[in-house]
Amino acid sequence: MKLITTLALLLGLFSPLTQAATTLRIATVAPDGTSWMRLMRQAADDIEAATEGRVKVRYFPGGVQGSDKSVLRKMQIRQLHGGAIASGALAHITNMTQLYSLPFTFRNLDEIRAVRAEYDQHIAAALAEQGYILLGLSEGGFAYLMSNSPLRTSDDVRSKKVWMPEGDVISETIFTKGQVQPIALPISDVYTSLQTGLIDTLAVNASSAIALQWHTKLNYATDYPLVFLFGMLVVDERAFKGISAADQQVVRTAMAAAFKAMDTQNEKDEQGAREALQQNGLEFVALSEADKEAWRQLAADSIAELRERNVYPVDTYNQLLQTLTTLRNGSAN
Amino acid sequence: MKVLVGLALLALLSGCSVANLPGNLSRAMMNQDDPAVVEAGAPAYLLLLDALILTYPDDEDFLLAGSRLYGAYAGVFASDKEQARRMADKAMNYARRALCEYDDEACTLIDGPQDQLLAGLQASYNEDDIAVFYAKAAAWAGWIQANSDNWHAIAQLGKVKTLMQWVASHDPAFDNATVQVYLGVLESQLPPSLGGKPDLARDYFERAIVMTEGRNLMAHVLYAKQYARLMFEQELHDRLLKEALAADPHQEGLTLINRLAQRQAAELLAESSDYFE
Repeated sequence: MKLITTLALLLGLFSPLTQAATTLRIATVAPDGTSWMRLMRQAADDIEAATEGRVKVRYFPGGVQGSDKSVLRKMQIRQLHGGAIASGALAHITNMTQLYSLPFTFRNLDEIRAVRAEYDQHIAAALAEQGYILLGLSEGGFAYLMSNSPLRTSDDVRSKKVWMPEGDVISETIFTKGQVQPIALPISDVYTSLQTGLIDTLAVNASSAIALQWHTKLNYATDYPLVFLFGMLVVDERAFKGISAADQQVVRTAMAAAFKAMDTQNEKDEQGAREALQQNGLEFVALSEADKEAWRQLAADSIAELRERNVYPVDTYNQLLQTLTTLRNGSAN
Repeated sequence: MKVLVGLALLALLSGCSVANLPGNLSRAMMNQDDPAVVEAGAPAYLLLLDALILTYPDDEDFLLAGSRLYGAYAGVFASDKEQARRMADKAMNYARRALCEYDDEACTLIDGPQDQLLAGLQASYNEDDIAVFYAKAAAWAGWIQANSDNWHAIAQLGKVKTLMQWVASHDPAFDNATVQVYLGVLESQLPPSLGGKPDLARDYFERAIVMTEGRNLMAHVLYAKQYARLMFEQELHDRLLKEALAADPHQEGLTLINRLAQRQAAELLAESSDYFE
C-alpha cells in the first residue's frame, strides 16, 4: 500500500485538481535590460505568483531565436510558443494586423488612443481565427522620414537612397508611387549601410533612431508623422489552451497591465528621444500645408493600389477612417 | 528601447587604477581586500579632493583624480539612482575641466559633431594625450550609465566609443586592458539582428583576458554578462564565471575590483538556469 501511495504521488494521481505546469517560451528582439524587457519579466513574475507556479513564462531576448519570420516558423513546429513581433511580419497570417499601419492615417497619439478601444479587438479576433492569441499590442511611436538633407516633397526624396525593411509591401508601394526606388535591407544592415553611404534616408521612430545609433548619420527629420509603429505579442493557441481558463485570464490580465505600462513608457521615450535628437543637432523640418497635402495624396494613391492587392482589411479600415473623421469633426467643434 | 547596461562596475576599474590620488591612496584602495572598507572610507577622500580642487582649481591632476574617484563611487557604491547621478555629474564636470585645462581645443573637439571626432583626434593628438581623453571617456561612460533613462545621454554613446577606440589604437592594453573591456561592453549593447556586432565584443573581451593573463576578473564577468547572455551561450557564460570565482583575486592593483567581480560572478551564476533554461 505504501508503495502504491508513493507511486500515486509520483504520478500525480492524487492531485487531479493540479494541472501540469506550463512554461510559455516567448522570443523577442528586445535586448535584456531594456525597460520593455523589465516590464515583460515583471509580468512573468506576476503570472507565476498568481498561478502558484502553474504557468511560467520564459523569454528569449535579444533576437537569439532569429528574425520575426524565424520565430513564427519555430512557433509552427512548437519550439516556441510565442513571440513579440512587428505588426508587418504578421500580415501574411491576417491582413487585419495592418489595420493601423497605413501611412498618414493618424495625426497624433491621441487619435490612436481614441480608436484602439474600439478597433484592437478586430485585430485580436482575426488573429484568433488563425490560431494566435494576441496578448498585447505595444505602441512604438511615429516613424518620421529622416535623412542627411532636408526633405519636404517627394521630389526631394527622389534623389535620395532610401531604405525600406525587407518585405515591407506598404513602404515599397508608397516609394514606388513617388518614383523612388527603395533599397530593401534587413535592419541588421542599416547602420553599416548608412556609414558606407549605400543608404542616406529612412523612416524610423525617434527612440529607435537613437537606440540603434542611426541618428549619428542623419541630420534632418521631416516633421510630419508618416506611420505609427506597433508590435504584437502573440502566442500559439495550442499552447495557450493547455492552460486552465482561470490561469489564461491571469496571463491576459498581467500582460495587459504590462502593455499598458509599456505604452506609457513609450510615450515618454518618444518625447525624450525627439528632444535628444534636437539637442544632438538633428533638425525637424516643418512642412507647408501644400506639402502635407501632396504627401497625403501620394499616400491615398498608394492605399488605393494596396486595396487591390488585399494588403489591408478594406472595410474595417474604412470604418476606422470614418471614426477618425467623426473624432476630428468633434474636436473641431 | 534603452540598451545600456554593464558599464557601472567598470567605473571603479578605471576610477582607481591610475595613481593620481595624493600619496598611495589609489594603490591602497585597489589592493584592498574588502570592498566594504573602501565603501566606508572613500567619501572622506571625495571631500578631500573637492577641497583640493577648490584650492587649486586649475590643477589637472586633482581634477582627474576627482573625476575618477567620483565616477568610481557613483558606479559601484552609490546608494540610490539620484546619488549616482549627482556623483556621475560631478565626475563628468571634473573630467571636462581637466580636458579643457589640458587643451582648450580638445574640449571644442569633443563638443562637436561625432563624425568629426575621430579625424580631429587623429589630426591633432597622439599617444602622449591618451590618459586625459581616456579619463574623459570613462567619466562619460559612467555618466551615460547613471542617466540611462535619458535619451540625450544614450545619444552620446557613439562619442565614448570613438574615444575608447582611439585610445586602444595607441595603447591596446591601457589601464590594465580596461579600455578593451569598455569596448567589449560598448559593442555588446545590440544583438546582431538589430545591427550589433557582438563578434567584435567577444574579441575585445578575449583580448583583455589575454593581455592581463586572466588577472583582471572583471573582463571574465562582463564577457559573461554582456556577450554570453546576449548570444545565449550558457556554456561560455558559466565557464567564464566559474573561472572568475576560482581565480586568486589578489593581484597588484586589481584586488578590489577582482573581489567585486567575484561577488557579481556568484550572483550571475546563481541566475544562470533561470536565464538560459
